[in-house]
Amino acid sequence: MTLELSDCTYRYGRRRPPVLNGLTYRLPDGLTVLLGANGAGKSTLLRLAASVTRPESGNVSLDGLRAGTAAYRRTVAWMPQSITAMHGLTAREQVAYCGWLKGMSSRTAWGKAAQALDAVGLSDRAGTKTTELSGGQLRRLGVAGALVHDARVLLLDEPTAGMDPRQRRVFRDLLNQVTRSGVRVLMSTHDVADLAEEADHVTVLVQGGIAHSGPTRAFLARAPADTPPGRAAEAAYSALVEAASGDMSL
Amino acid sequence: MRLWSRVRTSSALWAAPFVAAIPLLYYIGGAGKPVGEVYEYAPTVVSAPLYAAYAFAYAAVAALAAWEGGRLKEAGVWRLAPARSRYRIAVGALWPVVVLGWLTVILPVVVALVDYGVWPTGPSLRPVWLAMVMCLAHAVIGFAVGQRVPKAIAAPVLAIGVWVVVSYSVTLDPAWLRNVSGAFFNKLMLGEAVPYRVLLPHVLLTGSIALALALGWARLGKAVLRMVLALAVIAAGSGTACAMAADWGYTPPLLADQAPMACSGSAPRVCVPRTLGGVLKPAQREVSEVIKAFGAAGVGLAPALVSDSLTQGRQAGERPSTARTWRPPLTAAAREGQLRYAVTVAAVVPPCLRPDPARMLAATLWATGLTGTQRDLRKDVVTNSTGAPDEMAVRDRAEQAYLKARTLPEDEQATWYRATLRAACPAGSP
Amino acid sequence: MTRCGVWWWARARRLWVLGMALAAFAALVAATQQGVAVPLLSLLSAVSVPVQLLLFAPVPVVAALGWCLDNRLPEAEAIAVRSVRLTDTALAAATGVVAVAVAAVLAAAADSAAAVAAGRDTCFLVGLMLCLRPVLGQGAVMTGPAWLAVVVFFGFAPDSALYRWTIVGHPATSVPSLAVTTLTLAAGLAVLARSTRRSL
Repeated sequence: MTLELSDCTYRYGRRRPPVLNGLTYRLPDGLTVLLGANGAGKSTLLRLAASVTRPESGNVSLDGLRAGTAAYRRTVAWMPQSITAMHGLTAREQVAYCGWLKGMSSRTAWGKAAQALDAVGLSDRAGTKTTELSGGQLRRLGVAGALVHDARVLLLDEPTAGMDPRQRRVFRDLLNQVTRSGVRVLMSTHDVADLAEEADHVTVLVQGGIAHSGPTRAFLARAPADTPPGRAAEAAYSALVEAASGDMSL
Repeated sequence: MRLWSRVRTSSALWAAPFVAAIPLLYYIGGAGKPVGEVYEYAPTVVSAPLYAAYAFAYAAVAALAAWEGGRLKEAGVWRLAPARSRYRIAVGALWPVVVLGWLTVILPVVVALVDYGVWPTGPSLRPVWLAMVMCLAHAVIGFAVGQRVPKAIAAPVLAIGVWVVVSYSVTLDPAWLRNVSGAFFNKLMLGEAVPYRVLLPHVLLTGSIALALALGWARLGKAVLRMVLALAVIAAGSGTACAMAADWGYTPPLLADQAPMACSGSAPRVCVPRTLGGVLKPAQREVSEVIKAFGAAGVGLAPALVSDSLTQGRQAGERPSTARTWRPPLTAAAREGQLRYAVTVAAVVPPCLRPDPARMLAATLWATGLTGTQRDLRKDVVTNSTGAPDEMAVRDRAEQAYLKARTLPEDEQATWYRATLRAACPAGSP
Repeated sequence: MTRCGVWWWARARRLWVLGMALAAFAALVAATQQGVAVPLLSLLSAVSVPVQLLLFAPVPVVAALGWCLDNRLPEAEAIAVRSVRLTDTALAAATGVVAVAVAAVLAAAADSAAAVAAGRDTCFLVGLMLCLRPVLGQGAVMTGPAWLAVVVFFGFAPDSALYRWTIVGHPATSVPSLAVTTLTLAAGLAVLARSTRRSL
């Protein structure tokens, strides 16, 4: 199952510079962490891959399935950066609604919603109104919404924002479980130190282009030799960004 | 927030061209123009365009304020635990809306004043103050509604609701309802002005509702206490407003004789509206002639003041002449060439408010005979006659009494005249 | 019922608000169909014209429908497999149908044809709102009041009769009004069916 973006260009507004410019990318197996500065194009890449929006030019496909078709959407799940808390719906209802939107029957969606909430540690909040959930709980709800319909590709935009360390641990274990079942996961994060070491692959976006895409080991090898232990991921990222943009100033 | 940022992000900006233009278009199209002669009288010029502006301005302000209130709520401003008070934040969001409302009522007034070449006076601006205060009150009400009801529903419903309710008040019975609606639906005539006490019920009703809603944000302890206080404010405000206006008719009590006058002479002092000063000399002349004619017939008249009744506005005729103050329609009579006639009729003053019509007519026939204006009187009587039998009977009795009096010696005629006026008023009549 | 996808969609849209708006519509029509008028100043004729209050009855329905359609789970609905846009389009169409039905029932009950026009006018204003929604966003809810204001200002001839272009306020038997209403509603539904898809 290969998700591929071919020569994709996207800009927000006709007169703006492109956020992604002729980007070609193939999502590898397992868990891929997507890194990049704010405005590098991470969320845009995920939105294109999720078929939320179409590129100005180029193609997005999944094993020959064109992005935007029902078959494509059934196979791909997306969790955006901000999660809407639907007034009037409980946590389980909102997750079930996500499943129903993905073509599941109501009964199946209802059952799977409970499982998805359990997987993210929200089963005790299944009956809580979504507007009463905390920020971190809402993000986990978003993850549950992405997991509910057994997608083969998961696109997660900063899923761990707002999670405490224990919850992040649980989430990483969940991701491991998911990827072991053959699901490909592309996850953007700012949490370089923790997740880079758990990921199978790392992709780094700089100014709308791919600065690095490969196994985590190769990414970490880019750290300077004198990097202190435990700081390899940060150092590797900094080195990559410096090399890619020529000059880095904070 | 910077001034331009505030204005740029306010809904008032995109609504402004439409909202501010409508009352202006009303004026240009004629609906907002004064009807009839203006006599360079500021209250007349100001009240006419406002008539067309009130309801629309209030509706626009309420709707836009609801939109702004909803916007603040949806943006989560209250969840940011702001250090500034809620009132300060609300003012920041609402002032462009309120300014737009003020512009909506002020612009057509300014255009009208410039158009007629009239400077505003203090009394003339009172309806403008009312409109501006009402805009404030509607802004508060709209904002409060927008905090509770989604702005996409609150704004259109308030826009139409306020527009219709305020406009509809002019058709309602009892009449006092229009006197608490927030709009002063009266076009003022020359000499009229609106007293503040007439505007107060408007402010009390809508203002009490606005104040009650604003109290909802005050940190006054429990919600129950705030609600009780709010209800008390509404009850007090609206109750007072209704009590004040309960006895008023479709037209509330207005001030009269407020127009600037040009006067001359003394004993009597003759006054006409300053803008019609050309009538003053002829009026003074005719007043002297009439007093002389009466004096020659043995009836001494000593009015202190002879003032044109035109400045009484719609109350002209409701405040009849007295022995000391005559109120003839000097300007209108001058235009008709009937100055002496009008002064003569004003000089015939019975000692009561509802004299016997036959005796009054007989006395007036005699008086106009003195001043050579009887023809005008007879023409008037015929013109105003309905032909009803009792009216004809009154004319006959008056004619007979007059003709009988004419047969009396001249010195006895004066006595007859005075006795007839006294007899026209039964004992004890007001 | 509570474990049904359409129910979740209805809860997400908060359709109970639309129900209340339709109830308000029914109450307004019932109260005003016998000919209650408010004097409003016409710009063209420069005098007050008696405007039937029935004209304004559709406003809560149009506003509520616009608001309900904006209550969405955008991230999930943007990549949905089920056609939520068709469901929303059906909702808008059903709103028009219900408004017409309510107005017809009230007209029959009061033996007066005036109320039927209110249902048609609701359909017209719904269509207009839907057509302008992609351009104006949430501001499209003001389409109803704005159109009605334009009708009051410019829509009355000197003899207080409505010009044909106003569409609203004409008798229920007016063929041009019915034709334009049908076209406008159809256009609005078509716009809604297309635009929901791209709304993120």
